[in-house]
Amino acid sequence: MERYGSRVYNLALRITGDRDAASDCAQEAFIRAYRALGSYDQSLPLRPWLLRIATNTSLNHVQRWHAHEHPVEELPERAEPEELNPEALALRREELGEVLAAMNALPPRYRAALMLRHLNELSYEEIAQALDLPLGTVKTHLHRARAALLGELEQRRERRGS
Amino acid sequence: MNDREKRDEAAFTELFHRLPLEPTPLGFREAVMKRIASTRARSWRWEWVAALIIAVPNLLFLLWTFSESGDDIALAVGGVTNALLGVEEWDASASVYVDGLMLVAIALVGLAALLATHALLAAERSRTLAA
Repeated sequence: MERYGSRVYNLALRITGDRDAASDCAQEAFIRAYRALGSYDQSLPLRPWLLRIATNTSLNHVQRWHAHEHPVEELPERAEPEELNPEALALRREELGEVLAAMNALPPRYRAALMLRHLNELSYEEIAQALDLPLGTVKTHLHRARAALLGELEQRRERRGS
Repeated sequence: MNDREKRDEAAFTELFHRLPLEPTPLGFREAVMKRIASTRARSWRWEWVAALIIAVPNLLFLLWTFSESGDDIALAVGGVTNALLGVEEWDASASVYVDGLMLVAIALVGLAALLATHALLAAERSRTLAA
Protein backbone atom coordinates (compact mmCIF):
# COMPACT_ATOMS: atom_id res chain seq x y z
CA MET A 1 0.00 0.00 0.00
CA GLU A 2 2.92 2.31 0.68
CA ARG A 3 4.15 1.79 -2.87
CA TYR A 4 0.88 1.88 -4.79
CA GLY A 5 -1.41 3.92 -2.55
CA SER A 6 -0.86 7.19 -4.38
CA ARG A 7 -1.15 5.59 -7.84
CA VAL A 8 -4.38 3.84 -6.97
CA TYR A 9 -5.84 6.94 -5.32
CA ASN A 10 -4.95 9.22 -8.25
CA LEU A 11 -6.37 6.75 -10.76
CA ALA A 12 -9.62 6.64 -8.79
CA LEU A 13 -9.57 10.43 -8.47
CA ARG A 14 -9.27 10.98 -12.22
CA ILE A 15 -11.98 8.44 -13.01
CA THR A 16 -14.49 9.58 -10.39
CA GLY A 17 -13.52 13.25 -10.38
CA ASP A 18 -14.30 13.46 -6.68
CA ARG A 19 -11.87 13.24 -3.76
CA ASP A 20 -14.23 11.55 -1.31
CA ALA A 21 -15.36 9.04 -3.90
CA ALA A 22 -11.75 8.44 -4.92
CA SER A 23 -10.75 7.77 -1.34
CA ASP A 24 -13.63 5.31 -0.95
CA CYS A 25 -12.85 3.59 -4.26
CA ALA A 26 -9.12 3.35 -3.52
CA GLN A 27 -9.87 1.88 -0.09
CA GLU A 28 -12.32 -0.55 -1.65
CA ALA A 29 -9.73 -1.52 -4.24
CA PHE A 30 -7.19 -2.41 -1.56
CA ILE A 31 -9.79 -4.37 0.41
CA ARG A 32 -10.84 -6.29 -2.72
CA ALA A 33 -7.21 -6.94 -3.58
CA TYR A 34 -6.64 -8.21 -0.08
CA ARG A 35 -9.64 -10.53 -0.31
CA ALA A 36 -8.49 -11.80 -3.71
CA LEU A 37 -4.88 -12.39 -2.62
CA GLY A 38 -5.56 -16.11 -2.46
CA SER A 39 -6.37 -16.25 -6.18
CA TYR A 40 -3.60 -13.82 -7.22
CA ASP A 41 -0.80 -15.42 -9.22
CA GLN A 42 2.34 -14.10 -7.53
CA SER A 43 4.43 -14.72 -10.64
CA LEU A 44 2.55 -11.87 -12.35
CA PRO A 45 3.28 -8.19 -11.67
CA LEU A 46 1.22 -6.72 -8.86
CA ARG A 47 0.74 -3.19 -10.23
CA PRO A 48 -1.48 -3.97 -13.29
CA TRP A 49 -3.56 -6.32 -11.16
CA LEU A 50 -4.07 -3.68 -8.50
CA LEU A 51 -4.80 -0.95 -11.04
CA ARG A 52 -7.32 -3.24 -12.72
CA ILE A 53 -9.19 -3.65 -9.45
CA ALA A 54 -9.03 0.09 -8.81
CA THR A 55 -10.31 0.84 -12.31
CA ASN A 56 -13.25 -1.52 -11.94
CA THR A 57 -14.13 -0.18 -8.52
CA SER A 58 -14.02 3.42 -9.75
CA LEU A 59 -15.97 2.74 -12.93
CA ASN A 60 -18.60 0.86 -10.94
CA HIS A 61 -18.87 3.82 -8.62
CA VAL A 62 -19.28 6.24 -11.50
CA GLN A 63 -21.89 4.02 -13.15
CA ARG A 64 -23.82 3.76 -9.92
CA TRP A 65 -23.80 7.44 -9.06
CA HIS A 66 -23.56 9.11 -12.44
CA ALA A 67 -25.86 7.00 -14.57
CA HIS A 68 -26.83 10.09 -16.55
CA GLU A 69 -23.39 10.30 -18.12
CA HIS A 70 -23.13 9.32 -21.75
CA PRO A 71 -21.74 5.84 -22.26
CA VAL A 72 -18.69 5.78 -24.49
CA GLU A 73 -20.52 4.06 -27.33
CA GLU A 74 -22.96 6.93 -27.67
CA LEU A 75 -20.34 9.59 -28.05
CA PRO A 76 -20.10 11.20 -31.43
CA GLU A 77 -16.79 10.41 -33.03
CA ARG A 78 -14.68 13.51 -33.09
CA ALA A 79 -12.77 14.53 -36.10
CA GLU A 80 -9.05 13.94 -36.07
CA PRO A 81 -7.55 17.03 -34.44
CA GLU A 82 -5.30 19.09 -36.62
CA GLU A 83 -2.47 19.32 -34.14
CA LEU A 84 -1.64 16.11 -32.39
CA ASN A 85 2.06 16.52 -31.95
CA PRO A 86 4.55 17.08 -29.14
CA GLU A 87 5.06 20.72 -29.99
CA ALA A 88 1.36 21.43 -29.64
CA LEU A 89 1.25 19.57 -26.37
CA ALA A 90 4.34 21.32 -25.12
CA LEU A 91 2.54 24.64 -25.44
CA ARG A 92 -0.06 23.33 -23.04
CA ARG A 93 2.26 22.13 -20.36
CA GLU A 94 1.72 25.32 -18.44
CA GLU A 95 -1.95 24.64 -18.45
CA LEU A 96 -2.00 21.44 -16.47
CA GLY A 97 -5.00 22.60 -14.53
CA GLU A 98 -6.81 22.98 -17.81
CA VAL A 99 -5.78 19.48 -18.78
CA LEU A 100 -7.24 18.09 -15.56
CA ALA A 101 -10.46 20.02 -16.10
CA ALA A 102 -10.63 18.83 -19.70
CA MET A 103 -10.10 15.27 -18.49
CA ASN A 104 -13.17 15.58 -16.29
CA ALA A 105 -15.25 16.38 -19.34
CA LEU A 106 -14.38 13.04 -20.91
CA PRO A 107 -16.36 9.85 -20.28
CA PRO A 108 -15.05 7.76 -17.36
CA ARG A 109 -13.83 4.94 -19.61
CA TYR A 110 -11.79 7.37 -21.67
CA ARG A 111 -10.32 8.85 -18.51
CA ALA A 112 -9.48 5.38 -17.24
CA ALA A 113 -7.84 4.36 -20.50
CA LEU A 114 -5.76 7.56 -20.63
CA MET A 115 -4.63 7.24 -17.03
CA LEU A 116 -3.74 3.58 -17.37
CA ARG A 117 -1.81 4.14 -20.56
CA HIS A 118 -0.09 7.47 -20.06
CA LEU A 119 0.30 7.82 -16.32
CA ASN A 120 0.70 4.21 -15.27
CA GLU A 121 2.23 3.08 -18.57
CA LEU A 122 0.33 -0.17 -18.81
CA SER A 123 0.52 -2.09 -22.06
CA TYR A 124 -2.50 -2.26 -24.36
CA GLU A 125 -3.03 -5.86 -23.28
CA GLU A 126 -3.02 -4.91 -19.61
CA ILE A 127 -5.47 -2.07 -20.27
CA ALA A 128 -7.70 -4.47 -22.20
CA GLN A 129 -7.74 -6.74 -19.16
CA ALA A 130 -8.34 -3.86 -16.77
CA LEU A 131 -11.28 -2.50 -18.77
CA ASP A 132 -12.48 -5.95 -19.83
CA LEU A 133 -12.49 -4.90 -23.47
CA PRO A 134 -11.02 -6.39 -26.64
CA LEU A 135 -7.58 -5.13 -27.61
CA GLY A 136 -8.86 -3.38 -30.73
CA THR A 137 -11.52 -1.53 -28.73
CA VAL A 138 -8.87 -0.34 -26.28
CA LYS A 139 -6.79 1.09 -29.12
CA THR A 140 -9.88 2.82 -30.51
CA HIS A 141 -10.80 4.14 -27.06
CA LEU A 142 -7.32 5.53 -26.55
CA HIS A 143 -7.22 7.10 -29.97
CA ARG A 144 -10.61 8.73 -29.44
CA ALA A 145 -9.78 9.69 -25.86
CA ARG A 146 -6.63 11.53 -26.93
CA ALA A 147 -8.51 13.26 -29.73
CA ALA A 148 -11.36 14.13 -27.37
CA LEU A 149 -8.96 15.52 -24.79
CA LEU A 150 -7.25 17.71 -27.37
CA GLY A 151 -10.63 18.80 -28.70
CA GLU A 152 -11.81 19.69 -25.21
CA LEU A 153 -8.62 21.67 -24.56
CA GLU A 154 -9.11 23.46 -27.84
CA GLN A 155 -12.66 24.41 -26.93
CA ARG A 156 -11.54 25.66 -23.55
CA ARG A 157 -8.81 27.72 -25.15
CA GLU A 158 -11.30 29.25 -27.57
CA ARG A 159 -13.75 30.03 -24.78
CA ARG A 160 -10.98 31.69 -22.81
CA GLY A 161 -9.87 33.65 -25.84
CA SER A 162 -13.32 34.98 -26.68
CA MET B 1 2.14 1.68 -34.69
CA ASN B 2 3.78 4.23 -36.98
CA ASP B 3 6.31 6.89 -36.00
CA ARG B 4 3.73 9.60 -35.68
CA GLU B 5 1.58 7.52 -33.36
CA LYS B 6 4.62 6.65 -31.28
CA ARG B 7 5.48 10.34 -31.03
CA ASP B 8 1.93 11.19 -29.99
CA GLU B 9 1.95 8.45 -27.39
CA ALA B 10 5.23 9.69 -25.96
CA ALA B 11 3.98 13.26 -25.89
CA PHE B 12 0.84 12.28 -24.00
CA THR B 13 2.83 10.15 -21.59
CA GLU B 14 5.13 13.07 -20.89
CA LEU B 15 2.16 15.35 -20.41
CA PHE B 16 0.48 12.97 -17.98
CA HIS B 17 3.65 12.59 -16.00
CA ARG B 18 3.58 16.33 -15.51
CA LEU B 19 0.12 16.20 -13.98
CA PRO B 20 0.40 16.68 -10.23
CA LEU B 21 -0.20 13.50 -8.25
CA GLU B 22 -2.31 14.16 -5.21
CA PRO B 23 -1.25 12.54 -1.94
CA THR B 24 -3.65 10.07 -0.39
CA PRO B 25 -6.00 11.71 2.13
CA LEU B 26 -5.03 11.86 5.79
CA GLY B 27 -5.85 8.63 7.57
CA PHE B 28 -6.18 6.71 4.30
CA ARG B 29 -3.71 4.00 5.22
CA GLU B 30 -5.15 3.60 8.71
CA ALA B 31 -8.69 3.32 7.29
CA VAL B 32 -7.60 0.59 4.87
CA MET B 33 -5.67 -1.30 7.54
CA LYS B 34 -8.64 -1.09 9.90
CA ARG B 35 -10.98 -2.53 7.26
CA ILE B 36 -8.44 -5.21 6.35
CA ALA B 37 -8.04 -6.15 10.00
CA SER B 38 -11.80 -6.54 10.40
CA THR B 39 -12.02 -8.57 7.16
CA ARG B 40 -9.10 -10.71 8.27
CA ALA B 41 -10.61 -11.37 11.67
CA ARG B 42 -13.98 -12.25 10.12
CA SER B 43 -12.52 -14.73 7.64
CA TRP B 44 -10.44 -16.54 10.22
CA ARG B 45 -12.98 -16.47 13.00
CA TRP B 46 -15.24 -19.05 11.34
CA GLU B 47 -12.30 -21.42 10.82
CA TRP B 48 -11.35 -21.21 14.46
CA VAL B 49 -14.98 -21.64 15.53
CA ALA B 50 -15.41 -24.65 13.22
CA ALA B 51 -12.16 -26.17 14.47
CA LEU B 52 -13.27 -25.75 18.08
CA ILE B 53 -16.77 -27.12 17.44
CA ILE B 54 -15.26 -30.19 15.79
CA ALA B 55 -12.32 -30.69 18.14
CA VAL B 56 -13.81 -30.18 21.59
CA PRO B 57 -16.47 -32.95 21.67
CA ASN B 58 -14.15 -35.41 19.95
CA LEU B 59 -11.27 -34.65 22.29
CA LEU B 60 -13.65 -35.07 25.23
CA PHE B 61 -14.78 -38.41 23.81
CA LEU B 62 -11.18 -39.55 23.36
CA LEU B 63 -10.30 -38.44 26.90
CA TRP B 64 -13.31 -40.31 28.26
CA THR B 65 -12.32 -43.41 26.28
CA PHE B 66 -8.78 -43.27 27.64
CA SER B 67 -10.02 -42.73 31.17
CA GLU B 68 -12.44 -45.66 30.88
CA SER B 69 -10.15 -48.12 29.15
CA GLY B 70 -6.76 -46.52 29.60
CA ASP B 71 -5.31 -49.55 31.35
CA ASP B 72 -6.41 -51.89 28.58
CA ILE B 73 -5.05 -49.55 25.92
CA ALA B 74 -1.74 -49.13 27.76
CA LEU B 75 -1.46 -52.89 28.16
CA ALA B 76 -2.18 -53.48 24.50
CA VAL B 77 0.25 -50.79 23.32
CA GLY B 78 2.90 -52.17 25.67
CA GLY B 79 2.27 -55.68 24.29
CA VAL B 80 2.62 -54.48 20.70
CA THR B 81 5.79 -52.51 21.52
CA ASN B 82 7.37 -55.46 23.29
CA ALA B 83 6.46 -57.78 20.44
CA LEU B 84 7.97 -55.36 17.93
CA LEU B 85 11.15 -55.08 20.00
CA GLY B 86 11.28 -58.86 20.29
CA VAL B 87 11.04 -58.82 24.08
CA GLU B 88 7.87 -60.90 24.05
CA GLU B 89 6.11 -63.22 21.65
CA TRP B 90 3.18 -62.04 19.59
CA ASP B 91 0.17 -63.13 21.57
CA ALA B 92 -3.31 -61.97 22.48
CA SER B 93 -1.99 -59.12 24.62
CA ALA B 94 -0.05 -57.72 21.65
CA SER B 95 -3.08 -56.33 19.87
CA VAL B 96 -4.89 -53.03 20.01
CA TYR B 97 -8.62 -52.95 19.60
CA VAL B 98 -9.82 -49.66 18.11
CA ASP B 99 -13.53 -49.21 17.55
CA GLY B 100 -15.04 -47.25 14.70
CA LEU B 101 -16.19 -44.39 16.91
CA MET B 102 -12.66 -43.83 18.14
CA LEU B 103 -11.34 -43.78 14.59
CA VAL B 104 -13.95 -41.21 13.60
CA ALA B 105 -13.07 -39.09 16.64
CA ILE B 106 -9.36 -39.18 15.79
CA ALA B 107 -10.10 -38.27 12.16
CA LEU B 108 -12.28 -35.34 13.23
CA VAL B 109 -9.61 -34.05 15.61
CA GLY B 110 -7.20 -34.22 12.66
CA LEU B 111 -9.64 -32.23 10.53
CA ALA B 112 -9.94 -29.60 13.25
CA ALA B 113 -6.15 -29.40 13.44
CA LEU B 114 -6.02 -28.86 9.66
CA LEU B 115 -8.55 -26.04 9.86
CA ALA B 116 -6.65 -24.37 12.66
CA THR B 117 -3.35 -24.74 10.77
CA HIS B 118 -4.93 -23.22 7.67
CA ALA B 119 -6.21 -20.27 9.68
CA LEU B 120 -2.74 -19.73 11.13
CA LEU B 121 -0.98 -19.98 7.75
CA ALA B 122 -3.52 -17.74 6.02
CA ALA B 123 -3.10 -15.14 8.76
CA GLU B 124 0.67 -15.21 8.36
CA ARG B 125 0.50 -15.06 4.54
CA SER B 126 -1.93 -12.15 4.58
CA ARG B 127 0.22 -10.28 7.09
CA THR B 128 3.26 -10.71 4.83
CA LEU B 129 1.48 -9.69 1.63
CA ALA B 130 -0.39 -6.80 3.18
CA ALA B 131 2.86 -5.41 4.50
